[in-house]
Amino acid sequence: MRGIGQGLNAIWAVTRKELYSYLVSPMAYVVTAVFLLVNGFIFFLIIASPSAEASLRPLLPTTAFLLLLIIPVLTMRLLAEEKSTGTIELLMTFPVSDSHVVWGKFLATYLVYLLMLLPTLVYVGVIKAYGNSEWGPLITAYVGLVLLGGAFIAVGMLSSSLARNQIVAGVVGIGVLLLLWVLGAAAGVLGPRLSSIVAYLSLNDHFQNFGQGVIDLKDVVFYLSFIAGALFLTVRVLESSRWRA
Amino acid sequence: MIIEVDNLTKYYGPKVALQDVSFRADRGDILGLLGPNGAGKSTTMRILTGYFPPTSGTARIAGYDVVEDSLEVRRRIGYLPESVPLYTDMTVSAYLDFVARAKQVSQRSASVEWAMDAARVDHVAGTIIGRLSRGYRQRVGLAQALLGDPEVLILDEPTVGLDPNQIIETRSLIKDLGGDRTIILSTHILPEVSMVCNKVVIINRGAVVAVDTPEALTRRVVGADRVAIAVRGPAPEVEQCLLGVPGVRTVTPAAGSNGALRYEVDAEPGFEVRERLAAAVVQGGWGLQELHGQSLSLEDIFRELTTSEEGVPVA
Repeated sequence: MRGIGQGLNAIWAVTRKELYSYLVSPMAYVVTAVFLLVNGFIFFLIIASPSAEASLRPLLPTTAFLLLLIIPVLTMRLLAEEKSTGTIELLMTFPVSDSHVVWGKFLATYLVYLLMLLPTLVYVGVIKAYGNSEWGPLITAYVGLVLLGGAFIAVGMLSSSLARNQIVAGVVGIGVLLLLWVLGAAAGVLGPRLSSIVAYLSLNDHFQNFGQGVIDLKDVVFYLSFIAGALFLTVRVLESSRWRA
Repeated sequence: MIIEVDNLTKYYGPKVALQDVSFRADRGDILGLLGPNGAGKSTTMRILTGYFPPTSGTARIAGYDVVEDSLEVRRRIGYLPESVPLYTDMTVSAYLDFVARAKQVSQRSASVEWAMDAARVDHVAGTIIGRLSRGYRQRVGLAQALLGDPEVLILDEPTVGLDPNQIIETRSLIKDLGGDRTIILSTHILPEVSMVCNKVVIINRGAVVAVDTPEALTRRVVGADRVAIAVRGPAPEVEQCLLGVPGVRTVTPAAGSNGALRYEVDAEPGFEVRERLAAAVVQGGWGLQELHGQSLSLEDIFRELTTSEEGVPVA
C-alpha cells in the first residue's frame, strides 16, 4: 500500500507542476480562446439556420475535428521541451518513475482539456432553453468528447516524447491524429479482414455512436485501451532514451 | 563504503566515454573528480544518478545498484547537473515545492525553508527562475539538490560560472555540508580540489589516472619544478651541459628565436636549479638570454600524469 501511495504522490507532484506551467504560459489560454471562438461560431451558424434541430449532433464533427487540430498544440511541449532544455535530466533522477512522469503530465493536460470543455456547456443550456431535446444524447455527446480528448492527448504526448523540437512534436501529433481520423475511409478499398481492423482503429468511427445517444461499451473500451496503449508507448520511448544515451 | 564504483565503461555509439573507471568513497568523504573538459566527469555522475546506465561495470550507492535499484538510489541522492536545468517559468519557491513533492520529502515547507536558507536564495523565493542570474540559478540548483537532506550529494561543476565571491561562498557551503554527508563534486580547477576535498580522483580521456589526497597531489605538482631557459650557443654542447647540472631530470627543446636555443628544463623535486643552470651556461662561455621558473598548469599536470613512466598509483 505504501508503494501505491508513493506512486500517487509522485504522479500528483508532476501533475501540479504541469498545471502550474499551463497556468503561467499563454499557450493554454490562447488554445482555449481559439477553440471556444471557432466552436461557438459554428454552433451559432447551426442553430441560426431555419432547419435547426435541438441537438448537439450537427456540431459534434466540427468540435471533434477542431480538437484534433488544437490538442497537439497543448501537448507538444510536455516532453519535447524537457528534452531541449535539459530539465529532463533532473526529472529522471528524482525518485519518480518514468510512468509517473507520463501519467502526471497526462492528467494535468486532461484537467486543462476538461476546463476548456466546460464553457461549451452553455450550448446545452441554449438547446434545452429553446428546444425540447432529451438529456440522453446530450450526456452521451459529452462522454464521447471526454474520451476522444483523452485519446488525442495520449497521441500528442507520444509524439512529444519522440521529438526534441516542440513544433515537430505538434506537427507529428496532428499528422498521426489526422491519419487515424480518416482511417475508416480506407475500409472500402481494402480486403474484408484488413478493413475491419482498419475501421476498428479509426478514432472517428467510434465517436459516431456517442453522437447518436448511444454508449456502446465497445467504444468506451476502445478509447480507454487506446489511451493506455499510447501512454505505455510514451513510457517506453522515455525508457529507451536512457539506454540510447 | 557508501559509494562503490567498479569498472564503469560507457560508450556513446562507437566512441568510448569511460573506460574501466573504479573508485570508492566513505561516508563523510568529499571526493573531487578532477579532469579536463570531456574527460568523462559528467558521464560518471550521470551513471551514478541513474540518468543513464553504463555500458558495463557496476556502481552502488549505499549498497543499492544504480541500475537495478535506481529508485532507491535516487531517494538517497541530491544532484546538481552541470547545465543547472531548472523550470524557468516557475518561481523559486514553487519550483522547490515541486522538487520536495517529487522527492516525497516529509515536512515539506520546513525542508524548503531550510534548503533556501542553506543555499542563500530565501530572499528571491518569489522570483521567477528565468529572471535570475547565472549565480542565483546555480544556488537554486544547489537548494534543489539539498532538499530531503540526502546522504549523497553529486555536484557537477558547482562553481562554474560564478563570480569570485560566490565561488568562495559555494566552496565554504560545500565544506559545511560535508560531515556525515558524502559529496562527489567535479571540477577542472586544481586549487578547488585542495580547498574542498579530502580525496581526489583524476580522470583523463575516460580513464582514472590517479586516486590521491589533495596534499599528495599538491606535493607532486609543486615538486615538479620547471624552468624555461634561452641560451645562445651550439645546440649539442648546451644540451649536454644543461643535462649535466645536478638535479636536472629532462631537457626539452622549445621553439627558439633570433639565434637563441630555448629549453624547458624539468628538475627533481626540492632542487633549486636556476642558479646552477646560470652558472653552467656562463662557465660554458655561452650567452644566457633568459631564465625563469614556470609553475605547472593543470594541462601540464595531466600531461605529466598521463605520460609518466614512473609508477603512478592507479585504482
